[in-house]
Amino acid sequence: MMDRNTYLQQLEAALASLPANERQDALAFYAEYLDDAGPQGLAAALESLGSPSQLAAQIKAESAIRGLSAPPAIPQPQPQVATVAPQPVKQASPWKTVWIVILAIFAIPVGIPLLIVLAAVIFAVLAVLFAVLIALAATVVGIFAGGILSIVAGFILLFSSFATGLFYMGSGLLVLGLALLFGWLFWKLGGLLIKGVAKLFNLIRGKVSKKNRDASIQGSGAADPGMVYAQVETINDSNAAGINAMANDSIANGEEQK
Amino acid sequence: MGFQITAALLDACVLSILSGGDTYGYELTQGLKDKLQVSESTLYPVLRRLQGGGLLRTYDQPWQGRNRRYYSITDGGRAQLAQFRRDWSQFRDQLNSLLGSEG
Repeated sequence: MMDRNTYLQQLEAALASLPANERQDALAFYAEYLDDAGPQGLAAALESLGSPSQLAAQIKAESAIRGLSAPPAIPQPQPQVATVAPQPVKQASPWKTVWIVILAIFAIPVGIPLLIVLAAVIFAVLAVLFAVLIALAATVVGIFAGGILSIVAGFILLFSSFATGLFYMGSGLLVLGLALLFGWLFWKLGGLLIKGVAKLFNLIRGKVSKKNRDASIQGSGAADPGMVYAQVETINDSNAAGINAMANDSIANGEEQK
Repeated sequence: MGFQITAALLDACVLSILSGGDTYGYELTQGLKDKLQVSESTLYPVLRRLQGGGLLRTYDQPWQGRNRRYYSITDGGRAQLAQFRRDWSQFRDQLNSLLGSEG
């Protein structure tokens, strides 16, 4: 069993993605809660709260829902009027979320091909870059081989025609030197390119895995019974409306039958 | 229990407890847990939601060398509670007319 401080530390770490003030608020609440539970109640309280990551998932989910559906908290200056008037703001907010979801669903046919095209373009650019690099390397190797061949040919020619042999050997050495120089240059260039690409992929992977991590936390949160209730909240509301309607219908029917 | 407690019902219950006097997180949770089968982790989100909607406010009071945060219902919260009670009694009557009671 974890002690109070370890639990709170792990909770703080799990809440790292929240804004600082919300994180502090949640931590203060649970620190006070555990203190109030007292030494005897601590074990039971920790067990009932669940693991720090489960608790954090629930806090974050609620924070996300509030961020999506609730307009920024406006102080209510006219409490007396509120008694008479229904809450139009509360009615409007769930629809905003629904619209965003619908919009997101409709965006899928456009969004996914766009992503594929983007990936294909990146892949093509990388393939071209590497092809050029390989071609350059092959050229350098070819020139190098040509240089060696020229030196060998010049050495053989030395015995039939001394000047021609010397010329071939000289050009061979020149080509060899050029090949080494360019070889070294391309080697450095290739290394730089590979490093750059690796960095790019690390960047992309970092972004994606962060998203995945967030998503998996949301997902594991859904396994928590309290969480399910929070997510189903709006659906339940509409269910309740449906039950209301059904109840009204059956009452009306009953009266008709009488 | 076969029925699920919705967010609105939880809001209503917490407001109802607070209408009886200011209290702090642990006591509020225990008060709720005495009557309903809710997890201890459900209360904090409810309090944040109610506070965000201006239905309750908080203040800190020192207690045994540390701070305790008290929750207090606002006028807006009382108005909302009255609405919840009206809605609930209507809902209850409708369900009763459908389900009835045993015996």
